[in-house]
Parts: sequence; C-alpha cells; structure tokens
Amino acid sequence: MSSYYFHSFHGFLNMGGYAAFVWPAYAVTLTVMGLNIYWAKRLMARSRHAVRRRIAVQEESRLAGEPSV
Amino acid sequence: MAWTWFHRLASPPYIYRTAGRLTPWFAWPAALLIVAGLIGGLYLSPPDYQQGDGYRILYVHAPSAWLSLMVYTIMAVAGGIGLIWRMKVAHAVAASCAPIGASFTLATLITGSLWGKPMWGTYWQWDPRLTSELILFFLYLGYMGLRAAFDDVQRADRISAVLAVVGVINVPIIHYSVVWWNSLHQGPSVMYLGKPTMPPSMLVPLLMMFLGFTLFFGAVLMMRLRGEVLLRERTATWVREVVGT
Repeated sequence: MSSYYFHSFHGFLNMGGYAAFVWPAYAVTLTVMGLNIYWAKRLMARSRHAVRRRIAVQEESRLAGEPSV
Repeated sequence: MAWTWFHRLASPPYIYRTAGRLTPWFAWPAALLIVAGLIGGLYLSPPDYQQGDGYRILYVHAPSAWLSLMVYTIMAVAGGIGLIWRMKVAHAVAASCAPIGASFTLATLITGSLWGKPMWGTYWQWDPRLTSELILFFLYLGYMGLRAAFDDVQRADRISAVLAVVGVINVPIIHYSVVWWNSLHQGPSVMYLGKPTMPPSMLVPLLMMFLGFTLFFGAVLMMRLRGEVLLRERTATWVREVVGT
C-alpha cells in the first residue's frame, strides 16, 4: 500500500509522526456519526412503541365499554 | 393556492411520509462522499508544507465545525417559526436538531484539541474561537436540558425555542471570532478574497467532506423528525396505519 506521499502501510499508519493525534480525531468523528444513526433509530423505535401502547390502551377501554381516552 | 405548500409542511402525516422518502436520498450520497473524502483526505492528498500529515485532522474538524454552526442556525430558525406561526412540525425539527448539533460540537472541540496539542503545544486555550465554540456546546446542552425539564411538550417547545433564538447570537460570534479578536485559531482557509488558498488535491476531499457531512445531517434529521412527529401524534388516528397493530 503506497501512494505518492505514503511509501508504505507503516508510513500511512504513522501519519508522519502525528498518528497519536490524527487517528483519534478520525475515530471520535466516526463514533459521533455512528451514535447519531443509533440514537435516531432508537428514537424511532421508542416512538413506535409509544404509539402501539397507546393503541392497546384504547382497545382495552373500548372492549371494557368505557369511553375512549 | 400559493400557500398550500406551507400548509402541507405543517401537516404531520405529510412530513412523516416525506421524511421517510427523503432519507435514502440524503444517506447514500452522504456515505459515498464521506468514504471518498476519507480516502482523499487521509491518503491521496499531499501533506501540508508546515504541519506535515498532522493537518489531515482538518478533513474531520472543519466539516464538524460547519455542522455545529449550521445545525444551531436551523434549530433557531425552526424554533422561531414554531413560536411565530405555532407550527408543531417546526418545533419537531428544532427538537430533532439538538442532539445532532451537540454531538458534532463535541466532535469539533475534541478534534480541535487533538490538533492543537501538536501544533500549538496545548490541548486547550481560553481563546475567543475555542471559548465561543464551548459556549455553543453548553447552549445545545441547555436546550436539551430545558426540554427534558417539562412534561408538557408544547411548553417545552416554546420555552426551549426562546433559548435557541436568543442563543443564535453566538453563531456569528464564533464565525467572526478569528477576525474580530487576535485568536490562536487560524482564519478561514478554504476561501480567501474569493480565491481558494489550497491546491485542488486538498480542496476536493475537503469539499466532499463538507457536502457529505451536510447530507449526513439531512439523513439523520429526517430519521429523527419521523420519530419526533410520531411521538407527538401518538393520539392521532393516522399513526395507527403507519405503525400497524
């Protein structure tokens, strides 16, 4: 693995001596992106759950002959 | 007739369906641009003549910083629209923005700090740019904390929107901080006097990352907005058919 600027894979990993700063910066940013996807999916799942629970409560009260809430 | 689009935008079922349809149109181009930008920024672009390979943090730091400001501005505008026209969907947009913006503001602060250590010799400095960006992070946290403090969604919407609108004054302060004050942070480097200050081999991956991050925000906003709208409309009859029993 070599490019015009990196002559070896080791050289790429080493980032010209800045590996300890460059790689954590990329890791943090990609983690934030992953978390955003996870949080959005979790919000959607929670909302669906809330709607289903609401429907279940309405069905119960309807079957019991009470006015719906 | 001219106002029908505005009424449709205020309709929760319309927003729910449209946001769902739009999500892949944001997500796929975002994924492609970010992967291409990562390869370009980390591997193909040349090292900086002063900072060597350390400058490559730019490709994640600058787009994160751009999102931190853009998302706050959208949050404040949406909150303002919600306050003025009492539009529930606008408040849902504002509420959806906050965690996205907060997380990218934190990414900006951490990546900036990791860049500052080798170049400035310190992780942190009470510098105008850094301090105003930290205040932005606290504004996001305050906004979310305020929302969480109210059980009543409509009160949470209104009060948090006031904070979002007042806090937007910080956005131009962050942007111009490097111009107004003598800051440790470098000035804008993508464009200077209308001319790019970097060669295309650096500029192209950077612009890909800017666009990719922006589209990524669009995709996550659409996903969150669906969740927000569904939660707020859980008593409405239209949600029954979209959730299924």
